Amino acid sequence: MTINVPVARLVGAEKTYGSGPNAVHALAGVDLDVVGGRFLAVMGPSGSGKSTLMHCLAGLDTLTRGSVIVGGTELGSLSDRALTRLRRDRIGFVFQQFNLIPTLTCRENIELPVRLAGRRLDRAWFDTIVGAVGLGHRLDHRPAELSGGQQQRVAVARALATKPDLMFADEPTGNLDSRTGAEILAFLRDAVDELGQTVAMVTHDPVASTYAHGAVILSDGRIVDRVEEPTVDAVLDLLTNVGGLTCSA
Amino acid sequence: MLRVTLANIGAHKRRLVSTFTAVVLGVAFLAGVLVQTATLQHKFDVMFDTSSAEVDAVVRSDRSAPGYDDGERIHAPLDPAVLDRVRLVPGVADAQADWEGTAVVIGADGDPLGTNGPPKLGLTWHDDPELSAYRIVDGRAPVAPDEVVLAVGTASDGDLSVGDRTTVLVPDEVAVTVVGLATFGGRDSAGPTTTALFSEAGARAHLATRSGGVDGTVGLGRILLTAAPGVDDDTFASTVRAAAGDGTETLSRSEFRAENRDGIDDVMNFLRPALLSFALIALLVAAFSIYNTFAIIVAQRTREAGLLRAIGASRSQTLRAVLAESALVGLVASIVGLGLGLLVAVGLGSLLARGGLGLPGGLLLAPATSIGCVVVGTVVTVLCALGPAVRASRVAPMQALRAADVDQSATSVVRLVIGSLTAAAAVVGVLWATVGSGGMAAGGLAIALGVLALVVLGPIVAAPAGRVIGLPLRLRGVTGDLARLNAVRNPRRTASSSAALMIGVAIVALFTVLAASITATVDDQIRRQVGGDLVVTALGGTVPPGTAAEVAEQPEVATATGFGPATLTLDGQEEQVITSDVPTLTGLLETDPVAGDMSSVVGDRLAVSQAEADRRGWAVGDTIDVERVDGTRTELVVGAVYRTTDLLGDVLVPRTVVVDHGQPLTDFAVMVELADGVSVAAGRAAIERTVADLPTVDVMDRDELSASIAQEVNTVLYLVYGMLALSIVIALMGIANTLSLSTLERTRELGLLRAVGQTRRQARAMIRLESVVVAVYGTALGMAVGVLGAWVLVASDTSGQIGGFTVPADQLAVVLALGALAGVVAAIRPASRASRRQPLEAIAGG
Repeated sequence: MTINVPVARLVGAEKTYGSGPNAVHALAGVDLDVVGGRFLAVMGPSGSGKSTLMHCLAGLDTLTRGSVIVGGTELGSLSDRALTRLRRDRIGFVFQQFNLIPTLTCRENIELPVRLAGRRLDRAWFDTIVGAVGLGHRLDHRPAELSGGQQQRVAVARALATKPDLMFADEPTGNLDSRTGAEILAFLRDAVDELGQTVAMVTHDPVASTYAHGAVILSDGRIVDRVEEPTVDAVLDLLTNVGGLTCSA
Repeated sequence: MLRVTLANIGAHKRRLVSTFTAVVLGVAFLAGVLVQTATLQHKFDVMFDTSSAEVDAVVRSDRSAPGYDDGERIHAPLDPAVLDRVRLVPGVADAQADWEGTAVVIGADGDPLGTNGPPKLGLTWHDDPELSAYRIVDGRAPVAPDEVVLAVGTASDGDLSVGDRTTVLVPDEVAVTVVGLATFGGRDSAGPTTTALFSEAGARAHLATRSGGVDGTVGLGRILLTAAPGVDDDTFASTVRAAAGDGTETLSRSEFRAENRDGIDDVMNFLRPALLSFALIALLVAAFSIYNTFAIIVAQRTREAGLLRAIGASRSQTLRAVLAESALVGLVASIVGLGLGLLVAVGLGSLLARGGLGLPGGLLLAPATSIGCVVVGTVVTVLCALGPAVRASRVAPMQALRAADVDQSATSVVRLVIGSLTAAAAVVGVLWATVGSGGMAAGGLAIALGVLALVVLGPIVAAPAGRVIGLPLRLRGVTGDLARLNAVRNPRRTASSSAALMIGVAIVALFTVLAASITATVDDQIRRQVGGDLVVTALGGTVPPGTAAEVAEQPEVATATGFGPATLTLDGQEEQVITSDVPTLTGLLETDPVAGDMSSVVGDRLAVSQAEADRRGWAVGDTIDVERVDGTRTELVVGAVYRTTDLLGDVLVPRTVVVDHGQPLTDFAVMVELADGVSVAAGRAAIERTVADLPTVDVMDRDELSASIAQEVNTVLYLVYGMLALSIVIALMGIANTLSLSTLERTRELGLLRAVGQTRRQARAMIRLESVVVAVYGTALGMAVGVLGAWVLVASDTSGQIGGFTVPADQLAVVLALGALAGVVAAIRPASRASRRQPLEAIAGG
């Protein structure tokens, strides 16, 4: 993955719910480049539009105006089928909770997107990602038999399985204690630094943002700030400016 | 809590739709059956009361004539002197000779009127309105022997009107003129029958041939009497009885009416339980659907129940809430079902009319029927909700609030023990029925126990069985894997939603196999026994006398002989015998002789079956005292003993013994062997030319003969399929509903699958395949039960009617394929609803 080439872009992105005087502008004109080989944190208080931004970027939701381009493809013109294929082949997901199919074993969960595509998972790559998240001995267990942290690790491995252009993580540590959360964040960072992946993470936790290469701060549907190599203090300051600390957490 | 109940019903409308529909359909079928049978009974009662007119007493011979008319004994002719005697009895207002018989009316287009089944009546016209329910509405009464009055309905069916000339078969052909049209009790006809009324002279000439003549003089059929006003019925009957004298029997007014109703009571006593059992099957299947729906709804509401408990609702309050909800749903659905039941009754009515049991007029809805159906529907619904409701009320408040979708453990030891014991009892029942002496009743009990065992063990069997059935899905990759795993993830649910289908399919399979076994047995019998090339039969089983001789004269025919009924008193015991040219018949029908020589049975010899010989202690060479219906006596010697009785009955007597002794000789059938070198087609053409003037006569080869019997069996089979269709539909709705509710539970999981790349098509396929696994599981289980059940019944059959057990693999393969297809159909709505859901909705829902 070449450094500094955007793998995903938002151009003039607007997302409006409802119409007329009751309209809510979740995104009010956002331009954003997600640069390859970097770990980006998207931050902001509740209702700032960060989740909407990520859902639109991931092809889970559509924009009212503007465009989303992932890996050179404009998503607005794609059918549901094509969008599904894009998510399957080029995007990886880690959600806050309920990441795994309860009837499938960990191994089957990891292989799921690849098998949905009707392919087989490259053995070497499977070993690499399983090794990276440290799950070797629990592969044949079902999710219910794992702790929350272990489940999130399986989710990270599943997201990596297709060697996606872009990995999305939506509050991946929201349901975890701080130590387990730190492990997951470290895995995500390793995925970028060592496996050359690109990660975009939505979070409102300033500590989580310190694992990213850069952070953007959203407020009222707009990007109000950007930070390189964020620190807890710097992010806290910015969030305080937009009133994020009183509304979130 | 009532408000919570009402609010719940409002909130879960869609989930309750299937419970509602299941109750509606179950109750509708039940109501339809009850209403239709009550209506039919009432109409028949009215019809027979009408046909009894104001007759106060009936005198007839106390002896039988050969043969049966619609399964009823035919009485020997009555001495005309009896009429002169009873006319003089004080208190008799009127006494008239009366004959009844079969008269097939030929319509204007040359085809016989009426369907195979309902009687085609030939009656005597009486001018006295108290003796008959027929009233002339057009033309005049018959006077000459060749004049008839037709029922209005019969005339319009045949496109005949007053003045037309046509033919009536009694069974001899009689050329007649229609001189009048009559109504029956104000209706166009007596139910589905056809009616031709003859003058007394006509009836004596044509209808009496069935009853026979004694020594050349024609006897009376019977005497109908009316009493003078003020004479007590029973006194009247006993006075008449005394005057009528020996050799007669007298029926009082009420006895005559009771006898008229008897025949139809037999039909109703068979029909009512048969129809009711199908209605109960539908209700049982509906009960499974209702149970399942409540189980799922309650499971989904465990959280809500916990919350109610946490804020202070007592356990009995939560229990009452669910029960009140089920009672309300059950009540409303039952009332709707009752309404729909009237439509079902109309449908059943037209189905029965095809079987010859149709009667015009409206439906009879007794208050007891309505109340009964509503109560049954409501009680079944509440009972089905009881289990899940009790389970919900046992949940501790905090446990419920924490509850995630944890699988209920289905493998309880109690279940395993009860199920195994039931299964063991079923096996014992099977042994008792097949090896032991239990017979078909024990077989039926064993089948019921087997089904019960499967229902109890279902949740334990469902998971491993579903996994095996789902094995081919591996070929569909991960979509198939997911479907297979989903199908068995909640074994209790899989078991109960497939159990309904299992029961329906089991009965379909049972009847399919039984029908195939019966058909194969008959086919085998015909192939083994019928040695000739062609068989001549006739509508009503009566080939006109002389037909056999005419056929035998054709140059294409080598031999032809008929066989028909006669009555003889053998060693003091009156019996129905078969008369024929025995040596010739033996060449055309396999008799399987065990002693003596069949070809010797001519002149003063007869042949008896092994069973008859054993019963009476007869052996070859024994002499038997024989009395004919005209009172003449002779002695016959047993010339042979044979084993095959399917077509030949127990006693075979040469024609010469009976001919010219007061019994007309009609034939059940005429067996034909063609001359050497004559093809079946050519032979058949020749015979058809010979019988061209006999519209009721039919020529068949052996294949057609077995096909015609197979067709009769299949008609019954299709009727059974029709009755079961509703149960199957209810079962499928149950599967569809369970699937809908399950996918609703799995909203987030489906959303996740879509997010990580499952296409809509894959989502649909996943749900469809899950449904197919459940449906195939239910179908396969049902087929296993049905086939095994049929085997048990065949093996325990002691009557010998079903000789061999035949499994129609092709038909069962169709049933299995339909089962799988049903799974696909049941999944259409749930699958499309689930796949339309946006992945984001599901994730956001978390």
